[in-house]
Amino acid sequence: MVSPSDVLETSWREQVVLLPRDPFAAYVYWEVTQDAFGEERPLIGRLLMLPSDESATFEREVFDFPVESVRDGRFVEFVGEDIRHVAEIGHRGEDGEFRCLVRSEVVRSPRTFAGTDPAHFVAVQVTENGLQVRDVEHRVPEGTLFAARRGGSSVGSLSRPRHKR
Amino acid sequence: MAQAHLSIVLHTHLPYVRHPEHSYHLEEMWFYEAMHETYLPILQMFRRLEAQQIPGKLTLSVSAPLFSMMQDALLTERFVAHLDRLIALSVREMERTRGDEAFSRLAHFYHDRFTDMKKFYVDELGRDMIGELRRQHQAGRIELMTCVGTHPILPFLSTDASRRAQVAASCDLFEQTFGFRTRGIWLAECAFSPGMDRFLAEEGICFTFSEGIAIENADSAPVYGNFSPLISEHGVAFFGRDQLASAQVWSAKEGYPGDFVYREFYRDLGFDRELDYILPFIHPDGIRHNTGLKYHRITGDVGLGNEQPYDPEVALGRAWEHAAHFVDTRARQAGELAGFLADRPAHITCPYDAELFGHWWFEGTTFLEGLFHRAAENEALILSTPLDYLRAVPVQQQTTPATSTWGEAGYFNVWLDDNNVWVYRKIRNAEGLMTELAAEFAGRLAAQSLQDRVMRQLGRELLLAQSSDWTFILKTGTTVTYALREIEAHLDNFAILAEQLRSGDIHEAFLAEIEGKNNIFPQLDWEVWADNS
Repeated sequence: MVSPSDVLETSWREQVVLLPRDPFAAYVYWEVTQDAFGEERPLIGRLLMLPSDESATFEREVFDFPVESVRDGRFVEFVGEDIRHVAEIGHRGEDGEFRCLVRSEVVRSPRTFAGTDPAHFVAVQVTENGLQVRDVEHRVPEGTLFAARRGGSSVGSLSRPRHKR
Repeated sequence: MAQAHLSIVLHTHLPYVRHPEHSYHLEEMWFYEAMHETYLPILQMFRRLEAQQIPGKLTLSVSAPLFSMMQDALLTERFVAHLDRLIALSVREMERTRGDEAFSRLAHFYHDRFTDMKKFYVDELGRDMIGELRRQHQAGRIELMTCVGTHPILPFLSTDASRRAQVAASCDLFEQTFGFRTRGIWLAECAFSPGMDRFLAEEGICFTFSEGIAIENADSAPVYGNFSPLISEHGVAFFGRDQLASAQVWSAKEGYPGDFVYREFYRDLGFDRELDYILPFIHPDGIRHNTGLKYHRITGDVGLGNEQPYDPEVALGRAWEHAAHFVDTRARQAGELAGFLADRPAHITCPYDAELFGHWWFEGTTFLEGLFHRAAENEALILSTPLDYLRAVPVQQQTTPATSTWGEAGYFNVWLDDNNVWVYRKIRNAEGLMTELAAEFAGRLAAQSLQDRVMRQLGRELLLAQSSDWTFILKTGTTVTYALREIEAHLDNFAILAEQLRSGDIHEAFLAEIEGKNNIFPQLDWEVWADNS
């Protein structure tokens, strides 16, 4: 039976969305127009991993999947934790090149370890409009329970870039 | 000297369930049960603490759907009728159980309890839950705050406009209702991903709560662990849940609520008695449901039907023992932490769903009362709130907490599952449409014009559809039909109104009907959706 809200599922445009579920998987769903199937070559979806350095252009395909209907979705596995991923839908040409029809927003897979940013401290003041925050110098006393963790985990190569303040 | 701040945080929320089109609606029972089993007993507890000059203190998050239902004339009228039914049932039960000492005592126990509850609600509070909550807030016993909108998984919303709209809707309604701005906010299911704090900061939010892994896996390793908050990039304090305190209360198997003397939730008179007898006290169509009269204790691994009679005196005594154990354990924890957190007292964050206390765990509100009594005697602990702690310890580490929820495994597995993934396409497409419509009509509509009313109702329907309650139900498999109906109904209303607005053919009778039914957020500012920056 058709319900009025089915209009919210009609494929009047191309879109692909990547929703991270946990450090290991995401749900990808897509909508494409019927016209997109007019091409001789089959539609393909693919998951790409991107470098941590957001200015770098290198991208690597890590997984592809068939796109056989105008709207559908599936779970896909991330290549690792704390890595930027993006999903695309398009065709692969005779030359083997991928012609992208639509691309998702970039998402970062969640992680199960702390990042490597150095510890930074602020003084806060509770005000009517929220917290007022200012940078302060603060020395963490020796022997503090978690002080040894400063400097973060050992998996630096997968960590996100240091936050630039 | 106090070695740790102990923050008890209760999050109260129910989905917005209001059905004026039915004289008796099963899912409205969620509200009635939580009212007389959890919310009213907690307020009664605070009155007793006040009278005894015991310094009880907690942080209480009340979601916008819930405080809207608490002051809704239809629902409060129906709640009183519900209490009357319970009292009548307990009268009949006192007659039926005469001669059976154990069950007769229980029937009298429930009769006294329901009668007392009605007296408190109607005569002492004048049905004004909001006024009592405000009074306790002003007295410094309850740090009253709200939750994000209709309880959506904030990171799963598709646009910044949608996130902003959810946060602003509840903060604004909270202020209109309680007369002051909320300082804290509960993130539904503690769902956070980097960047979400911006929308909280925009509303002047000082603090929120997160799962412990949000702190432990932050961009910078937390030098004080989970025992001092992190200040996010946009200036919101994130307090991480303490796992030890959590497991002691949450776990049905290893936690306190599983004690064999406690009341068995799953045995209820509504299912135990023959239909002819119970019919006047259940759904008029003969659909059985819980009545709140439960005569058995957990007993052990005996299976439903073989439990022993419940003894309130023994169970309530056990709740006081468990409260003492909880406080003493926290005090020991505080002592251990004091050796490690050299320059500050620890902040032990203990957040729970409020409905655990009283509703799921019947003796839970007694446990809370015992906890406050015990903590008042303990010099190692200071009952505190996040604001107290931030004022006492203003120097904090600043970094971005990690993506997480307080659900299974710490991530989104519950709300992104084969049973509920289909929801997001429809809802996110509706969000996109709402953003487009808001951008098109912002600044152009006269207040209370037909189009303005349509835009406001579109916002309400979208907010209600985004509630994580529905996807949670689809995952857990309870009352699935109802959740499906609610999602479809809100999105159908949304699609119909959007089409009418676009075509210029607005049906006022239809609009008025759903304005009357889904009447939450009466002054909703729909133009918020126009700002997608």
